[in-house]
Amino acid sequence: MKPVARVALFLPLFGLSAALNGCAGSNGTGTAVFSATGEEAAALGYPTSTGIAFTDGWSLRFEHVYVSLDQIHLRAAGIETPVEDGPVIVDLHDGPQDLFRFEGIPAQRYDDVGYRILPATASATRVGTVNATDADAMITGRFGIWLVGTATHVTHGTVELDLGIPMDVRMSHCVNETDMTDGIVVPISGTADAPMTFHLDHLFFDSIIAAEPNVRFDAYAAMAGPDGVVAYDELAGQTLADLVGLDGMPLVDDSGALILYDPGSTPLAMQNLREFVFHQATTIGHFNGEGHCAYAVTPVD
Amino acid sequence: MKRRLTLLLTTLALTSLSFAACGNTGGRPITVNLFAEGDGDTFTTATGWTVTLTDAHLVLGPVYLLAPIATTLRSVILPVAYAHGGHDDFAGRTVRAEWLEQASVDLLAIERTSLGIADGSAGPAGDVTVLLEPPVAASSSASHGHHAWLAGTAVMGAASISFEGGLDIPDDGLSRQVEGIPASGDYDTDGEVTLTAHVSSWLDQMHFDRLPEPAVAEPRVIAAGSQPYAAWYIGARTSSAFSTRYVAPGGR
Repeated sequence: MKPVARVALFLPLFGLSAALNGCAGSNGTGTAVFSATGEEAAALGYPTSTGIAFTDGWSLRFEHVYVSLDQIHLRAAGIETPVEDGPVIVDLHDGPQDLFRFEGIPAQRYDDVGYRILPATASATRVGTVNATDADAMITGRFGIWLVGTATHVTHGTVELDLGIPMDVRMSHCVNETDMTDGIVVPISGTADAPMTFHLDHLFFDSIIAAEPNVRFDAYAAMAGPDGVVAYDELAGQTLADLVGLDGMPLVDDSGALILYDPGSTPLAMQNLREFVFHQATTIGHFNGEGHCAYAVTPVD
Repeated sequence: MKRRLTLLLTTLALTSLSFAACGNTGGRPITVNLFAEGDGDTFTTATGWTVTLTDAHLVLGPVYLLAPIATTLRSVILPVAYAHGGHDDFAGRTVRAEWLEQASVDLLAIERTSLGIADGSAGPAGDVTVLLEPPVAASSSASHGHHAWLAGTAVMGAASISFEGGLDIPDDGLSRQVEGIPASGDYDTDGEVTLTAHVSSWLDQMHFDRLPEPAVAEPRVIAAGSQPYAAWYIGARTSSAFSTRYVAPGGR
């Protein structure tokens, strides 16, 4: 047997051994690094190089993608490992950023990993380029996320987006996209990467229940005030059963077909676009790419 | 003394176990009688129209009566939603009882329509999921081949509009699944669950004056692509478009 083949034979055994050590809750420790990312869209907007684009011809560039985060949890079989986190406000427009590095935690699988998007507080640490004025606006508005950007359309011109959403959502039982297992494995003397991933396209989906919803902006743009800015509360002016376009007429696509935003049986506080977008906002938090979590929503006063 | 303490602790443990056993009869096989009905033929919509229905049929089923989600104190305090575009909220839920057939229901009938027996296991109700699958031939005549069929008259001021039309629900993600319909009670054998379809909720956001003008004479058709059709499509699948009530065996 060639040396390389012999090594190849033993690598799986070594891996199995390491895994068993982890499962057994050995005395070894490791590190978990929690980062935050809004992926390419947060930095460069839509359309993306991966093909996510508004079907109604808009493009969107963000100036800020603020997220308020806290309360990361790592649990193994229901037992929580204490970690030193704390509230942060991060601008995902700056690109992926490491937020917390938990060193010396037990090396094992944590089958329930999660975090919380919550109203910003004065005690939050500002990460990266977040300035004090914007942090204060987040705190005052009780925003969990706040997107600021500019949408442009070849026919309709420019609309400014000011989407500050008061929200409090606890993500738990996050699935790891790497292997679709629950949570993460912290290796002995090694480091586990734990990217909290935010899918901004959910905010512009036209269906909560469709397998492949469209990404649209016309319904947003139609709610812009005389100042050319569309704010979160202004989306309440769009009734789901009677959407209007920029011309004040029923919202239709290029073929003249009526546009529908479909909530399915998702309970919304009101059947309007603001509540639709709020629901979508509660599902933007993912884990390590496409990994889904359970979302527990607490009303914000 | 030590033996007496051990005996006392053992007795307490056994006593608490016996209470736990007596307080929970969940899991025992049961059959529940399932019915469906409408909520009346006359109502006023949020858009200001007073509607009188002359025909209302819905093809529904299967129906799943689900156990509560909450299994921990934390999940009681914080309602957990697993919703995510195109994903199945159904996964991981315990089905308390299920009726796996399909029926066409006359929502204007004076008496409830008996759907049949839902088999399951005894225990508390959580909520109900109704599937709106495409009608099979035997179920489709009254609904003219559609998922649902309505006819009637809408009046506002001097305007009076006769209408009729069918609703078709495309197969896209969870579009044919109405989830989260409230339910209560402890299901047991010979209990009755009545599913009420709130037609008034279906039509609540309709602007009847935006139905296409008829080519010859009324009734106007609730045509796909019109605002009234869109309003119906949204309204018919909200969790508030249906409700349930449970009557325990013997009317208890």
